Amino acid sequence: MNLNFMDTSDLLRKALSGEKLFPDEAIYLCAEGDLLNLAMAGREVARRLHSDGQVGYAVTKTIVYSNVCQPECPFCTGTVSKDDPAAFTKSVEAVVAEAAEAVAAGATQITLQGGHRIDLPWDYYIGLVTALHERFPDLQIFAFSPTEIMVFNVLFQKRTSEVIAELKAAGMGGLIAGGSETMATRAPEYRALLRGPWNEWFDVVHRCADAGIPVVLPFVFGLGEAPKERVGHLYRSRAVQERTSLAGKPAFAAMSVFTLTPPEGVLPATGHEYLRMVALARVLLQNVPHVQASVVAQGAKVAQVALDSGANDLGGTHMEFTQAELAAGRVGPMTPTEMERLITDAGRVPLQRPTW
Amino acid sequence: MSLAASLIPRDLMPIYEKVLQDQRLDAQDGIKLLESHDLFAIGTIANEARKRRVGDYVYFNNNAHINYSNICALSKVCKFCAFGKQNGLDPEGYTYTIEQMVEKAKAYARLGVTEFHMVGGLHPDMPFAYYTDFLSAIKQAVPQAHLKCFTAVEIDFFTRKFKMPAEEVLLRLREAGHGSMTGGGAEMFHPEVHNVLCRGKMSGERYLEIHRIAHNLGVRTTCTMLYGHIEKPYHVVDHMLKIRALQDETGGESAFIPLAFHPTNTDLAHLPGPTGHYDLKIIAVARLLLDNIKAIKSYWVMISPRIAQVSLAFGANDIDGTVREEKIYHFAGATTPMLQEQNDLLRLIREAGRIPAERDTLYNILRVHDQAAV
Repeated sequence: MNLNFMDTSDLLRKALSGEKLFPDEAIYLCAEGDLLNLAMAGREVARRLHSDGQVGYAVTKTIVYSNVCQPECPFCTGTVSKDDPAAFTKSVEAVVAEAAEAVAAGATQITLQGGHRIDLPWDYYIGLVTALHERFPDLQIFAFSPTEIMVFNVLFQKRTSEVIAELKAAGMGGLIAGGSETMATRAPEYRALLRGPWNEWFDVVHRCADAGIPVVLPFVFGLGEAPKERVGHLYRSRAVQERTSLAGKPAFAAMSVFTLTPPEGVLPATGHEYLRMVALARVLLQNVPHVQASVVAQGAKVAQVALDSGANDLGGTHMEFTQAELAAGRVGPMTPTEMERLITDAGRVPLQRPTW
Repeated sequence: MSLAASLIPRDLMPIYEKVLQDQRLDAQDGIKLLESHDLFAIGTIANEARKRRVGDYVYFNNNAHINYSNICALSKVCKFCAFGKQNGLDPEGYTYTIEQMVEKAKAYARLGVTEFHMVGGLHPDMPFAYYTDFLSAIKQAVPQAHLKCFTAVEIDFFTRKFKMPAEEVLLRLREAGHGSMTGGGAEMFHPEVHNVLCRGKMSGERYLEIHRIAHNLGVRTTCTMLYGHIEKPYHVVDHMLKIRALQDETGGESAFIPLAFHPTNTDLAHLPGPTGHYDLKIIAVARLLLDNIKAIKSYWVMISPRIAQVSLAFGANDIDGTVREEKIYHFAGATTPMLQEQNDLLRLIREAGRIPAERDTLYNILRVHDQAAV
C-alpha cells in the first residue's frame, strides 16, 4: 500500500461504480477524506437507494429497566455496580406504566435497555417483553443487544437460538446490535465479554436474521478509536450483511450512526466528523438499506445536515430526552412536528414509520 | 475535477462555471442557490469561491464582548430582540459603570484579549460623555486593545440625541479611543421584512449611509444580516447585494456576519428558528454573492460551534473569537457556551483541514498556527 498515491475523489468514484474498496483505501478515506467529497458521495449512494426522497423517523422511547452492569466499559457513563446507592432495577409493572405513558404520547416503538448482570432470573427478562406485548400488541418492542443475549445464553444454559425464539414468541420485535462498538477490538472488558471478540456477536446477529427479527446496526465512534478500527467495524458488519443476504434474510434493516461521550483524555467527536462518518458508512455499506442520523448525538442541526451526507432517516424521537437541542437557542422534546420541519426544510418528504 | 464538483446538479452548474471564471453572480443566482436543496453541491461551489478568493486561512481572534447596557429605547420596537429592556421598568435592566468596564477590560487583557467588542442598547439618559469617557478610560487601562464599538444604530442614535452629524460623532469617538464599528443593527434591509421586524427603527438606507460616512473617515466596519425569521430568498439576496454595492464604492467592510435569529424570549417566539441546512446555505450564498468582502464569518455563539465548523466547508473563513461574555443571544435562549478556549478553536479549524490564523480586528495576521499544538 502506498498512501501517497491515494486520492479521495478517485477512491469515491471507485466505490460509486460498485467496486469494493480495499481496507487500506477505506482507512485512507476515514482518516483523510474531506467532508465535501465524502458527503457528495454519501448523498449520491442514498439517492440511488431511495429515489423517492422520503426520510423516515419513528416516535420512540427508550426505557432503561436497570442501570446495573458488570463489564464497566471504560466509555460508559450510564451504569453502576449492583451495590452502588444509585443502582436501580424497575419492576415489570413500572416498565409497563412507563410504556403506557409513552404510548399515550404517540410512541410506536419502545427500546428496552439495561446492563449486563448475572443476578436476575430469565423470568424477569421474558416477563418484561411478555407484559409489554400483551398490554400493547401494536407496539414494536426493541429489546436487549447481542452481548446481553450472549450473557443469557451462558447464564440460563439456553442455546442462542432458543433465547431468541423465546423472546420472539414473547413479542420482541427488534434488536439494536449494541456491544459492537468499534472500541471492541481494544477494550479488555469487551474482549473478555465477547471471547473472540466477534464470533459470538456475529452468531447472535445471524440467528436474529434467521428468526426474522430486524436488527439495527450501530456505528459508534468518537471513543478514541483509530480509523482502522472504525473501518474494521464497518467491514465486518458488511460481511455479516452479505452472508445473511445470501441466505435470503439480510440481518440489518438500518445502520444508526452516533457518538458517545468519550472517556477522559479523548476529545468529543465534532459535527464535522459526524457528517464525514455518516458519509463513509453510507459509501462503504451500500448493502444496508437505511442510514439513520441521530438527533440526540450531535443535535437536530447536524442530524438534518447529515440527510445530505448519506442518511435517509432521522431515527427515533427519543421521548426520554426532554431537552433536545432543536434550533438556535431552542431546546425541548423532539416532537413529530420538529422532525417533519427538519425533513421538509431539507427538501425531503417526511414519513412517520411505525418501526423497522 | 473533484468527485464533489462532478456531482453538482445541472441547474447549479452555470453558477459553478461563473465561479470558475471569476464572474460575478447576480440576484437570480442567489435566489436559485437559496431555493436549492443540494446542500453539499452549494457547499462545493462556495468552497471553490473561497479557495480562489481568500485561501486556506481561517481567522479567529482573542476577543471579549462587553455589552455596556441593555437599556434600550427600542426595546418595544425590535420584535426579534430579547436583550433590550425598558429604562427603570425591568429588573433585568443594567448599565455598567465606567469602573466596572475598566475592571472587566483589565481582567480580559490579562488573558491576552486584543479586541473589546462593545455594543449596547439605546440608553435614553446617558450623556455623550459616558461613551467617550468609557472609551478613553478603557484605552488608558489597556492601551494595546482595539475598541470595536457601536453599531450604526447607536451612531445614528447619538446623532439625533446629541444633535451632531455622524461625522462629528465618529471623530469625537475616535479621539476618545474608538477603533472601528461593529456591524449589528442591519437586521434585514428590505422594507417588507424591516416593517414587520422593527417598524420605526433606523432604515436599511440609513444603516448603509452611516457605514459610508464611517468608511469615508477611514473607520472600518463589519456588516451583518439577521436571518431565519420571516424572510424569503429575494429579501436575503436584496440585503447582500446592497452591501456588495456599498463595498464596491468604499471597500470599508472587513467582514460579513450572518446572524441567526434566536426566537426564545422575543416577540417572535412562535417562530422555530433557522435549521442547520439554512445556516449553511446562508454562509455559502454570502461567500458567493459578496465577492468583494474578504471575511465571511461564522459566529459560533449563534449557530453553535458544530455548525460553525461545518460552515468552513461552505465558504466561511472566520469563526469569530473567544468571546468570553455574550449577553445578547444568551438573553434569547442561546445554549452555546460563552467562551471557546483558543485550543478548542484551533482544533475545530484544523479538523476541518484548514489553517488557523489569529488576527487583530482589522485582519492583520498576528500568528499563523501552522504547527499542531504540542
